[in-house]
Order: sequence, then C-alpha cells, then structure tokens
Amino acid sequence: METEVYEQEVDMQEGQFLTFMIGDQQYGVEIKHVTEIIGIQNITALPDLPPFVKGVINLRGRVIPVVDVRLRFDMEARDYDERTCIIVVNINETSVGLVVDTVAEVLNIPVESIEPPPKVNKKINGNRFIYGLGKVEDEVQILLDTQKLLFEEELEQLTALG
Amino acid sequence: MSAILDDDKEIIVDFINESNEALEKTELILLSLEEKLAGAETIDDNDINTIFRTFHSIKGSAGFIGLTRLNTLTHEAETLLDNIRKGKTELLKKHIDIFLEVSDTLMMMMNHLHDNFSEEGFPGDVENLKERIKKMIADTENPGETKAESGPSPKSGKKKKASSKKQQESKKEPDFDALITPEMEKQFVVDAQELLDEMEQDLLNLEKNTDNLELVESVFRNMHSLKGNAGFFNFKDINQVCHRAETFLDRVRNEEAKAESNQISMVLQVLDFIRTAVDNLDQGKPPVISGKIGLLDLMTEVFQLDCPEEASGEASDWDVPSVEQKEVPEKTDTPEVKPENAKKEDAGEQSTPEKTAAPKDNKKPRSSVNDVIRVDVDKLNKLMDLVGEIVISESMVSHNPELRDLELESFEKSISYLQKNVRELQELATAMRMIPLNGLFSKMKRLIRDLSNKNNKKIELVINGGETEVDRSVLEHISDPLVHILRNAADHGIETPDKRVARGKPETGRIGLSAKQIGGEIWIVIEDDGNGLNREKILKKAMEKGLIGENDTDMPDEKVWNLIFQPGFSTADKISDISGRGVGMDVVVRNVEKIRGRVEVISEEGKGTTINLRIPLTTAIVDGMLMRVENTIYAIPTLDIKESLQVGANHVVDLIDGQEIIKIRENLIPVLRLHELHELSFAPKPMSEGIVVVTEKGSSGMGFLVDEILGQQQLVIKPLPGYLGDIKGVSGCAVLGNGEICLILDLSNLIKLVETT
Repeated sequence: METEVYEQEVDMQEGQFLTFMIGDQQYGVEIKHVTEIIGIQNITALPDLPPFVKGVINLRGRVIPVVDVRLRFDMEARDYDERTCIIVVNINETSVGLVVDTVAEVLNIPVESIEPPPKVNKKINGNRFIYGLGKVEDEVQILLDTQKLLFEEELEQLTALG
Repeated sequence: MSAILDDDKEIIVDFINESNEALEKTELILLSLEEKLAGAETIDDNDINTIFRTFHSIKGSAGFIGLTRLNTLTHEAETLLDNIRKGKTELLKKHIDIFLEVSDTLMMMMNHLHDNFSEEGFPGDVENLKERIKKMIADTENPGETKAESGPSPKSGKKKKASSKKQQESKKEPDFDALITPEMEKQFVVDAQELLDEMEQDLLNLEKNTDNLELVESVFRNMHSLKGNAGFFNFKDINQVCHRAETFLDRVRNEEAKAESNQISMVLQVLDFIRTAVDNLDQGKPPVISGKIGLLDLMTEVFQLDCPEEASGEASDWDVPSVEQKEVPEKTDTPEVKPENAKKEDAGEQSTPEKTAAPKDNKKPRSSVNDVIRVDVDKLNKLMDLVGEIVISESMVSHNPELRDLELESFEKSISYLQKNVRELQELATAMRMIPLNGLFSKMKRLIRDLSNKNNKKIELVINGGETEVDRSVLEHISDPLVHILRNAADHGIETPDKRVARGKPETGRIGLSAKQIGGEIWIVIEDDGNGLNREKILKKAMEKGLIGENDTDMPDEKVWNLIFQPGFSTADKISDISGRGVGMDVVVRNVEKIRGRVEVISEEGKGTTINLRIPLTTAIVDGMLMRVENTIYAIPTLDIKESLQVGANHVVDLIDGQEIIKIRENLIPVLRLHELHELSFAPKPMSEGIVVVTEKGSSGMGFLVDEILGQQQLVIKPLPGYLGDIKGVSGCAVLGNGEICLILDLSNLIKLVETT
C-alpha cells in the first residue's frame, strides 16, 4: 500500500513546476528535484571555481554548494536582498542551492502543454538550459533543465562558441 | 518449526552464544597449535583438552536440544581429538586443518540455527566432513598405515613435514577452503563488483580519449587488484583472464602497445565474462568462466600478444608454488595452458561446488548475539551528523545575541546543564565509531599463514596492541594498505628458509605488526627481518622510469625509500599472482594520505624493513587553529603549526620573482599569501599588518600570511561537496559554532602546488 501512495505522490509531482524570477522573467524548475526553499544566508566563498558557483552554505550542518542562476545565465550580478531565495535542489544525490531573485509560485503544466525550445535564438547561450516552453493560459513559461543547469560544463559552452 | 516455544528459543540462543564464544577461542588455539607444530615446539596438553571440551560440550548441548547433525559432527571431531589426546596418534597439520574446518562449519551452523531455530536446511555438506574425519580416525587407529604415510620421525617437525608432503598435498584442498570464510568471499564479490564498475567507467572514458594513460593506469591497477584477489581465493578462471588482460594493459601503459577501440571493446567483453563469474559466485555457484579457452585465445589475438612473452608470463605465475598446482602436476611442467589441462581444471572446480557453495548462503558468524547489536553505518553517520547539529544549535541558543545583555540566572544554569549533556553526547557518539584493531589484525594472521604456505616460506606474525581503538573510517582506509604492506613483506621481504639460514638468520622469518597511540596519532608499525630494501636497485629502477635524474643518486635514504611508493614501481625480479607489479605500494600512500596520515620507511639492506603508518586518531575531528583572511575563515591543524608571529618590514626579503622570504632567528622561511593564492583580494598589504603562521610542512617550513588569528577549536571535518570538484589546497571544511563555514587547509597539497609552479 505504501509504495502505491508514494508512486501517486511522484505522479502528482510530475508536471509540477516551481517558478522563480530572475529580473522580470519567470522560470520554472521541476518540483521533483526541489527539496526546500530557504532565505539567503552567509555564503563562504571558495577559490578556483567558475564565477557562477558562489561558494558553500551551511544547511543545518550540511555543507552544500550554491550556484547563482543570474551568473549562470551570464546576466549581470545583483545585490542580494530580503527577497533573494535559495532553492535547494537534489539531483543524483547531489544537493545544490540555486540563488534566485525571488520565488514565484507552483504551476501545474501537463506534458501536452510543453513544447521543445525553438531552434532559433539570437543569443548564443540562450537555449542551453531550457527543457521546454510551458503554455499556461495565455502566458509562456520557460522551463529549465535542472540537470543541465547544474552540470553542463563551461567547456562545452566554449566549444559551442568556437 | 514455528512450534518452538519461547523457552526453547532462549535455550537455543544461550547455546549459540556460548558455542560461538568457545569456537572463537578454539580457532585461536588451533592457529597457535599450528605455529607450535611448525616450529616443532612441544604441544601443550591443555590446548588439546580445551578444544576437546569445546567440542564435547557442544555435542552434549546439541544432543539435549535435539540437533542431530551438530551432535554427530562434534562426536566425530571429539573422537579424533580423543585419540590425539590419549597419544594414539601424533597431532599433525592435517588434523589442525580439519579441526579448523569443523570449527568454521560449526560457526556457520550456529548462524543458521540463530536465523531458523532449526538445523534443517543447513546447506553445508556436513556428511562429507564427517566422512573425512572418520577416515582420519581410521588412519589413527591403524598406526601401521599412518606410519607408512607420515614417516618415522615424529618428533622433528621439519623432517616430518618433508616426508609427509604427499599426504599433505592430498589434504590441502579442504585446508584451503577452510581458510576462506564466507565473509571473505562476500567481500571478494563486493570488491570485485566495485572494481569491475570502476574499470568499465574508465574504459568507456578511454574509448573517447584513447591517449589518456592515466585511465589505462587506473584500469591496470584495478585489474591487478582483481587478479590478486582472485589468485588469493584460487579462482583460477578469473585469475587467468585478468592476468592476460593485465599483461596487455601493462604494455599499453608502458606505451609498447596501443589500445584501439577494438581492444577496448575486448577488455570490456572480458569484464562481462568476469562479472558473470562473480555473479555466479554470489549465487553460490563456482566462479567459472564458461568458454574460457576461447576467450583467452581471442584475447591473445586481439591484444596481439606474442606467445613467447605470454608463455613466460604464465610461467612466472605458475612458478610460485601454490596449493592448487600441486594437485594438477601437469601444469607446473607445461607453462602454456593446454585445453585438456584447462578442462581438467574446470572439472576440478566443478567437482567441489558443495564446498564453495556451503559457506556462501550464510551470514558471517556472530560472536555474541545478545550484548552487541549491529547498526547500519548510515544510521551511525546520521547520528554523528545530528550530534554535530545539536552542538551547533546549542551554541546558537547560548550565544544568541538577543540574550546578551540580559541577566538570566536560571537560564544560565539550564544552558550550562544543556552544554554538559551535549558534550557528553558528542563524546559518546564519537566513541561509538571507535573499533579496536584486533579484528583487522587477526585477518592478517590468516593472510600471512596463506602466503607462507603458498611461497614455502616460514613466517611468524607477531601482533601487539590490537586493543588500540581507531575510528571506523580510519579502519576502512588502512585495511588495504596493511594487506599490501604485509603481502610485500611476506613476498619480497622475508627470504626462503635456506637463504635465511645462509645469511645466519633464524629459519623462520618474523613480521611484527603493532599498534599504539602516540599523542593524537595511532602508529601502526609493520617490521620484518627480511631482505630490506636495496638502495642501488631502487635508484637504478627509478632512473629507468625517469623518476629521478643522474645527479640524484646521493639523495638521503628516506627519499630513496619513498620512491617505492611511486605508481608502477617494483624491483621484484619476478611477478607473482599476489604482488610484484609495483601496484600496491602507491595505494598505501594514497589511502593513508586520504585520512591525513603519513607513511615512514626505515630499512637496512639484508636486515629488514620497518614501515610506520602514522594515522590521526579519527578522521572526523581535528584540532585546528582558526584564522581569518579577508572574509574567509581557514583552519590549519594545530599539530602542523610551529609558531605564529608578527613580522617587521625589515625581516622580509623580496625575491626577484616576487616570492617573499622572512628571516626568523637563523631560518629563512618562504611566505605564502592566501589572499593571492585563493584570489580573495588583490590589494597587496604590507606583511607587518598581518600575522605569519609558520608551519612545519615543506622542506624548510612554510609561512602563511593571514589577517587575524581567531583561536583554537576542535573541528568536525566534513568533505567539500563533490559538485565543486577538487579545490586546491583545501581538504575539507567544518561548521563553526556560529554557523559559519571554515575551510581546512591541506598543507602538503598546498605546498606541492606552490613548489611545482
């Protein structure tokens, strides 16, 4: 019985997205990867890392790395304020915090309403992290591929440029 | 058997507890008897009596409870012992072997009994064992026959051994099986699967980048480990296949051959074959590789191994006298494996499935069922984490800024009570992870016993300080290094008996294994009185490998000895299936450094070698000095710090390349600025504004410039998240009382970085 309930829960999580704001744009990540949302806190900087990895935080005794999504998108840095949040995601047993301007809402987007990202884009980097475009009523939500957001190497980006 | 009453269960559990305890003692006595026998010392009647009593009381209780199989097995063993006790027959090695087997079987039966409360369904072949004991009893009761077989000089252990060799050989197979506990086999399966997975990953990466020799090295190392393990267990199929693959990999890593995709797929295919064999073993079937001959041929073809080289490779493998080969004498004569031989060998393995199968289905024998419980390590680690968090949250409460200026008398009292309890909790949680070294050390006893048997050497392992306790994680990391060091000591260190006699040494080699706590460290010392290291040989080899230049030949001994820890370094003249390819020793250093330990070697040629592993008491906690650089807090292990001081501008010398050097008393010490190294700030500050922390690492010491020293503290070390990859010079981090994170510097690494750049 228990596993059934559990499966149901996973099923319910399927198609749910947590959205957050970077500037005026709203983005979504799959909720099944999200473990919690915390306010911004003291980040310990570390040497030798790409600029978008801000350092590590202490999450109740666990030390986890944080990635600034703005910097990951090559956008301009912005000072953190009381609305800045860290979304803690967990992929392949790895917990990583994502720094976002603010968290918006949880959306239910069925698979039928998600389209692959367009192949054309003015910005070279534009589509790298996009998993799909979700149509919700009249709006279009940019849904991110958490895996790529965290793990896609800078190197690949460079070769893509070359 | 659900009809068993609770009362009966209690009786059975008591019986199991008592028996297991007695059996453990019996095993130790048997091993010591064996040593005495080998050394032709007089056998203490008390020892025999103790074993007799154990078997006798198990027999009695088993009969009372109605466990017939246990009862009859112990009865046979008891009869044989009784004959020995009464002097009807001389105690021989074969007897000890069979008693060991009986004791192992009994432990497994106890285990089965504990799980099922019935001896029914026990998978071991008790009947077979009983028959063999009966045969021995018959032999002993017919002294004429025994005499004819075992030779007439019963008092001299050495002569007896020689003359009864034939008889011993025929008895060796069960002996060898008895040595391999189901626990060890389980471990082999787990290890093998891990190694196979790693190799597969590396090979897949190698396929993408065929020039990456590091990957080849890694696959080679793992293949070698697997081969060694399989050789140890006498899993010949796996051993042979691994050997051939290893030979090829060895050539690739020496750049004598190239691994194209064709060859890589071949190796991958080989891994699949091995995996099937290992899975078989896991399911209780013998680990044979079906179609091995074809596979070996195909490998030779695909790897383009020229036969002569391969043949000699095999020959050197078979040269090592091993239990198994004597059974198949053709093998020693013909180095090349001919199909018929191999078939025979397969058949031989298949004919013994019940022996290999029997132990497998059983969990390892438990020492005592009641007063010790097994806890999942994960749970223990979680507890440790949780305790760490409690320590932090306690300090968050007690140092809460909102309470600072309030006079709260009763609150203060409560807090100090809380603090006391938290501290005790932390100590207890740490102590729970401490395990005595005894268990690990006694495993080594068996290792040495097997190796000396295999190599026809006489080696005595002297163990001291097994009661010393270390952290669980430390234990895990030193188990492999210990095996490697001991294998090396037994294989290459201790000489053959004739050579030892010629050198004026006692015939029996001595390997000492001892542990003691010195300050915050555990010292594990392995000393042998064997060959010692050969300075010239090492230097020559190092030069061949390009590790040192022509001019380095006058380097001090310690540095020469440390060369043996380089990957791929071996001065062994021949390669055995256990060691000699120079793999092991670099594993030693790597593992020991992982837990922030050190390895020291002292050696004198012809006299012996001493290897000292200096290991911190626990990997979880370090006594660190906290210091601030800009906004980052660093910690350096307090043990590594010599002094810290403020330096006047007149003491600083600037070298041309910008390296700063300070003069403290008569010493010149280079200073590193962490600001720059870790790119925290680019604004150069005069050194007099900061504090220089002088450490002992590096050739002449090394100074670090920091902004401020915050004090000393016990730090619970956490690894940095794997997501970040390796960060230069940082070995881990710790969460401080105020919730901040401090970075723990890895000084040796940091200095290495600076020295090479």
